Amino acid sequence: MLNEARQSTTEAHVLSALRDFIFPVFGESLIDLDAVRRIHIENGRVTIHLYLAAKVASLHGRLVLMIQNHLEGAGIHGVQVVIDSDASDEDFDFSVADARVRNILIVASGKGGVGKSSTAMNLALALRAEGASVGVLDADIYGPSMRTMLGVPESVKPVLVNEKYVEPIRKYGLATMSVGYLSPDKTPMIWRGPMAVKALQQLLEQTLWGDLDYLIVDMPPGTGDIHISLAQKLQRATALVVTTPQEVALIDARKGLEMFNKVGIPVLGIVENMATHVCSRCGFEEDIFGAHGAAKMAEDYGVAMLGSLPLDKKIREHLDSGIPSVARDPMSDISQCYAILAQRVAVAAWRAKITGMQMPHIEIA
Amino acid sequence: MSFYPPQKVRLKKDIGELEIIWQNGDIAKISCDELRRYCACSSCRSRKLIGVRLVTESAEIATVNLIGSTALQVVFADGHDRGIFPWPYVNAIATGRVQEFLNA
Repeated sequence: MLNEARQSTTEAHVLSALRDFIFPVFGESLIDLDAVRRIHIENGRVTIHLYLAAKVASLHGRLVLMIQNHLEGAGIHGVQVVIDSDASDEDFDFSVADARVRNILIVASGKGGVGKSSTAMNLALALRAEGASVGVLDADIYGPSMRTMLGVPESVKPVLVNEKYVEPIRKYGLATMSVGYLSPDKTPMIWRGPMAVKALQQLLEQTLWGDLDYLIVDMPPGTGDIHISLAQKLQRATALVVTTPQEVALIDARKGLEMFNKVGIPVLGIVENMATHVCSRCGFEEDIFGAHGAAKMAEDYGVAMLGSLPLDKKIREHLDSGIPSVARDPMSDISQCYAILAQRVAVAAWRAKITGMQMPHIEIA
Repeated sequence: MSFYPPQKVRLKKDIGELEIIWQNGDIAKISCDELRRYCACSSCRSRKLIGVRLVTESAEIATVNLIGSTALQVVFADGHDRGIFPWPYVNAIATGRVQEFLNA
């Protein structure tokens, strides 16, 4: 009896059972995400091969558990799940010289000082912790901050290769490049727009990034020359808009978001930074910069709210000391916030890719 | 997620209309006259800015081409093909928010 039931399990059964299974972080079924590569059935034993185009290693265990539970509920027992999330050969957002980048994430905001760089850096490390290979480009030509935030000593300079390319500086497992690596700390870049644009283009294209799952571009504030050029250069990029909850920051964040709409770069969502402050003495929670502003904006523009990060002295302290929070203590509460953000960003980038691949169909009658 | 690009662009020459089916299934209908009036090319836009009449022989559209996945090039029957319409601009025309869009 049991044997018969086993033998009657077919691929169609498994597929139809998977159709109404939604992994909460993914928000869509594995079928819609085109994640099911192969279903192998041998002697009644089902093996499902999944391909995830997002690096979320820390979720794999829970994903497998939930699939098994769900299929058991549908009467399919003893399912094996094999997850693969390695880059396939095709489909790079950006490839020049030696660089093959699967996803480009632009971290931007309209306003300065809302924590783009700290978010970008910790997000990069959190994606790294999810098993991705990650690069970070500091696109702020006038106020580079990467050297300080990663604690790269003044003596370390990028190595020139073949007179034309530079090796990125590797720290905490990230490949990083910044104009700050090329100039002494106290020398300002007194450049007009076109010079800055040219310099940034070189940093982007002449760095030997290698194979990357994610290249995070940490933008300067504003919507000027550099932003337009970079947006044109990186046509297949996706963007995150960082903001603090208060109205003055939101006004600028809206402009930042509108800019991406105008240049046709999909916005994955909004990251709310410095949301709540927990008093280190008494534990009192206070919304220093107000509350719900970013959520309202996300709703207005129909984009996702990817995460809400706390205002915590330690984030600032760790960056100033050259060891970002996620690198210093990957298990801390702050790091958990960044881990959740990284998972949502990775999934959002994946989903954007699926919708983005659908080119419009033209009919002339 | 993202609203752009649309799923489908249908040029109906017989009734002089461009039909666009957006990502979310919404259907927008834009007359060819309107596309000519709000031609996205720099010379048409500058003429509008300084208030000079547009040089239009006909608003008939010969064909439309995709510019990557981000914009639509409209080729008018009189040979004017310089207008490249990014999707958000097309959407602004369809929803009657052109001025708002250009001023933003």
